Amino acid sequence: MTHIQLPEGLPGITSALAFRPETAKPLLALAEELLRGPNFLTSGEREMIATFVSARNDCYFCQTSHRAAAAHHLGGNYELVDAVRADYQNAPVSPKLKALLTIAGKVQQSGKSVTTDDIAEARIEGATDREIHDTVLIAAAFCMYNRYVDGLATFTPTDPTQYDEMGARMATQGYGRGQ
Amino acid sequence: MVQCVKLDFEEAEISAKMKALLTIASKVQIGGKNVTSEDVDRAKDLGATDLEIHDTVLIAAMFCMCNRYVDGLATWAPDDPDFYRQRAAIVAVNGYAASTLTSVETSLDTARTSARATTVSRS
Repeated sequence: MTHIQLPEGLPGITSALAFRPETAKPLLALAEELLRGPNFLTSGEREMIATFVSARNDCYFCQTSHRAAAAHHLGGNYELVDAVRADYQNAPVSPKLKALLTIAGKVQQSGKSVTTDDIAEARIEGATDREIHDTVLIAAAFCMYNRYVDGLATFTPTDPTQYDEMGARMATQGYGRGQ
Repeated sequence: MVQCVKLDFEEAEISAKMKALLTIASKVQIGGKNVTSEDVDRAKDLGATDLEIHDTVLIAAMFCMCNRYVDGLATWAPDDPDFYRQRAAIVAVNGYAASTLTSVETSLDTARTSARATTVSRS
């Protein structure tokens, strides 16, 4: 049961966003810019960072919906997203993305956990300041979204088809439409 | 009073409702699932509305983002308490949009001047 009276029939964060449209607007704008805005990191890569952090925060709704979004950006490749989520160091992704995921994993623990060695490693693998910045902010933002979703005990669907549809919408239409 | 709340909010001179909301905030800081229905019921019994509970959760969640952003990039944190007081005074009156480059530069100049004055007086 949700902790407060939220609009019914809406899954996860969407119910909280509908409850409070004034804060929904900047929250969605942030997600849109971070995950779908112009960037040398692909949306697939950025959604994988979001999924990874959400899994570490044990937020079922966020990790499952963003897993679907990542997969849709990657031509339906759920296997790759799952490989990254389970064991990114051995997943078939670039060394640069692995270095950025290390940073994201540290941010999930605490900002101060990020070391100069972590940053140096990312730079050696070709990460730019902008990519490092955005990785830190995506990880930090999902530490917010995960807590928002679970802190209000929003309704968590369990039907995989529903998440696949959500992911398709997130990948093609984005976050600016109050999803 | 702010210091008392930071150190031990249950003992601070704030309303019982505020204490209940701070309990919720402290649970959110650890993780969203740590908020229990008992925590929420306590807040509601003390007069907290759904909006107040929602905003408490979101403020706590948001600062879990902001804190990580600031420290994750190892941004420069001035030591001088006056820097923070002056910046807070600007923000309290003009809002967070006032944290523009101009106001930040003004605060930076003040902090540097203050640091130089401290160095000179020590030498």
